[in-house]
Amino acid sequence: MTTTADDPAASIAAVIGLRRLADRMERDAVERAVDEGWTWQQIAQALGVTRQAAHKRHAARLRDRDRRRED
Amino acid sequence: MNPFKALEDMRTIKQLLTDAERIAREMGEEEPGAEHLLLSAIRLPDGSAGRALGSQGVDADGIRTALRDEQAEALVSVGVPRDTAEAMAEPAPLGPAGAPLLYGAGPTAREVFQEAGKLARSSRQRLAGAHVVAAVAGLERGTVPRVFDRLGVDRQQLADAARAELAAR
Repeated sequence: MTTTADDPAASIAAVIGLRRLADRMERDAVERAVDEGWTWQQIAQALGVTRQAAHKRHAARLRDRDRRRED
Repeated sequence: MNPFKALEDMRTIKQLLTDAERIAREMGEEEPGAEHLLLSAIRLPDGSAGRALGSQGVDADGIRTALRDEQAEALVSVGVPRDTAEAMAEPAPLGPAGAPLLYGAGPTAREVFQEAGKLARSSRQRLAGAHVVAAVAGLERGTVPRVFDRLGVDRQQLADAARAELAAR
């Protein structure tokens, strides 16, 4: 962490990088959880967010994915 | 404004935003950022964005590579091993959205889009790619200016090149 600690621009760039990575990992993990039959309530609990928040964040994308699978 | 001009502008705006969203999703981002708007501007048929960037030695592939490098370096800077960071920086496409999220752009992309429109209106020109380039060159912080630094692009010179392109129209 020493390389970015003194430079706010580098620190913020690192935050952005981690956020992108976290978003990507969250998407992949939620997709796998849904495929394994988790409910939105369980996904929300695991993520530490409300059911509505989990649904809002992931449901549309999963619908698009399932639609593509059916095609 | 001339109604035909306004119609042309609406076509340009639609293409700019639709393409920015498609490019963002291909790169694994749900919300277009300034970098996706810039890549989208390069693809506009007027060609002015590509020429302005080209005059500074940059093209779309160079920007995409620098974006990947920027992402990998961000992860390396917090201790992720380089080979892992580079693998994680490879784009993971999201696939097309069922319902296009037109205007679902992030705040920086919105700022750039508004500034580009303002530049076009103030010079009574039709919106062109170089307006987007000029607006993007005005960003001082964030991913895009860091990518320009990485590519050795001077933002002031890029803004001048964009204005020169617009003056020639």
